[in-house]
Amino acid sequence: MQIGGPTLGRLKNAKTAKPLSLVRNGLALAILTSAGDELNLNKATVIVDHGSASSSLSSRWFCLPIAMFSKRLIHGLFAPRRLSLWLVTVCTLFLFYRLNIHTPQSVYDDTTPRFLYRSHFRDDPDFAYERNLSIALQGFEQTVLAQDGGDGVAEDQIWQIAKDADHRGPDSISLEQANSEWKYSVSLLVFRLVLSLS
Amino acid sequence: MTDEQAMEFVTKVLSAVPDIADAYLSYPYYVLRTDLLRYLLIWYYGGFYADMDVFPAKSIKSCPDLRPIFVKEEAQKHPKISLVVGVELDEPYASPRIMRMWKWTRRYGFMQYAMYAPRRFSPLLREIIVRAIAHTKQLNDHHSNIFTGRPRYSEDTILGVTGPDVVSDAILDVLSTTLPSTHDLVHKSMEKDAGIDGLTSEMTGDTEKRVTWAPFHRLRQSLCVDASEATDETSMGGLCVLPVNAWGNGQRHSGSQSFDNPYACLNHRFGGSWKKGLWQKIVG
Repeated sequence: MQIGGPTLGRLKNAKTAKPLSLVRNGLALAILTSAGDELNLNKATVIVDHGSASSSLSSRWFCLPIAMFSKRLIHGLFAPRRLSLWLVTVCTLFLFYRLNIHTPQSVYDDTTPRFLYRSHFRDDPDFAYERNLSIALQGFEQTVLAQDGGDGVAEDQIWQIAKDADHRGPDSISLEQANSEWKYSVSLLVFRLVLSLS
Repeated sequence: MTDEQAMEFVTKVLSAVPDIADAYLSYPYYVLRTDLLRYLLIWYYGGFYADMDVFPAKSIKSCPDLRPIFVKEEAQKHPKISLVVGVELDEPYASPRIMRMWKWTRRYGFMQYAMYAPRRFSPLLREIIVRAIAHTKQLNDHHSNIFTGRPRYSEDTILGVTGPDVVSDAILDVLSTTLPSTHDLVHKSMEKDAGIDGLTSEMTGDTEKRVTWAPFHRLRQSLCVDASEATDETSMGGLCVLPVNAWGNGQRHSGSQSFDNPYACLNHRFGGSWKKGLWQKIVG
């Protein structure tokens, strides 16, 4: 018997050989059966057991999920052209699983304190370059201090950096107001709140 | 006018050291330029730097944890302090799971959204600037995209090139190289470390004596190291580290408390606005 597709099998009661009513309902096929019916579906014998549920209907409904997995559907899922996709999916899941569990649980939850962190930028720094740059900066410092005089004590100034005038919001304004004795000037990228010397 | 004043400062005022402008001009993102610029400003001029999303709980001079700087009687104990930083992250016991959950690259660090330089030309800031520029050069020279020729700045890279990572590492390294091995900070560091962080060489068996995060873990009050405590007074410049609740409130870790706790002096809205989403990265 065919219902819009390949043969589902011999939908007959195996014992009585009487044909069974078959109702198609969306994706599921309901076969009206009575308890104890044997159905032969594509060489598989299914014993129908309706359990203890009672129904107002005189007939018993037995939805066969097997019907959903028609031969056509199965062939479609595992067609040769789709096997490569399945292979990629399985490999990806496998790799993902392996990558996530490569760290033993004991290490993952290890709470041993670490008081020293080594940035990867310090794995192979150019010490010569850094030394030369530091020397250049020190020379510059000495030149400026010699020109400006003084002992290097900084003026009381607050520095903030803003992208533009709109970037300065209420937080910046409240910072200024909390230090109201200071003078300040605003520029778009760099603005400076200058403390008046008390 | 957006970049002109910064450009003038970087390219003209600091023109004697052209590497500064080279690094600054090479940055593709605003956050990188502002990172370097803040260090340069308070290194050259001194003063107090604060991000735009920082708001006060008290005035700067009335902050209890800044008494070693502003209160005469206490300032006499540490007359030479060139840099004041606050604790932002203090979780040395965090497991890899916790770090992954928080997306941390490290377990501790000083903040750089607020910094104070009571003196010009802090050696600590100089080292921070040196490393920021050196890391930039390292990235440009060795990690350029083969198609564009430009380096790729991930969030982690930004933290390590110009961000709080470079600040924290530079400060601890300078303290390690300038303080005598008998200094209290070194002693506390070695006591806590006890073979955990690989300070003992497997080949020679020698232990590197240095300053780690240990003395700064769970600070309850300011910890100051005067410039004179270094083997060479000019080599370190003096440092004060403020506990997390002075400038680092509003976080759900590190012992941070709420914005209105009595120890709060500055509060920061931890928005991380520079960490753009994918759409913003595409359209700007």
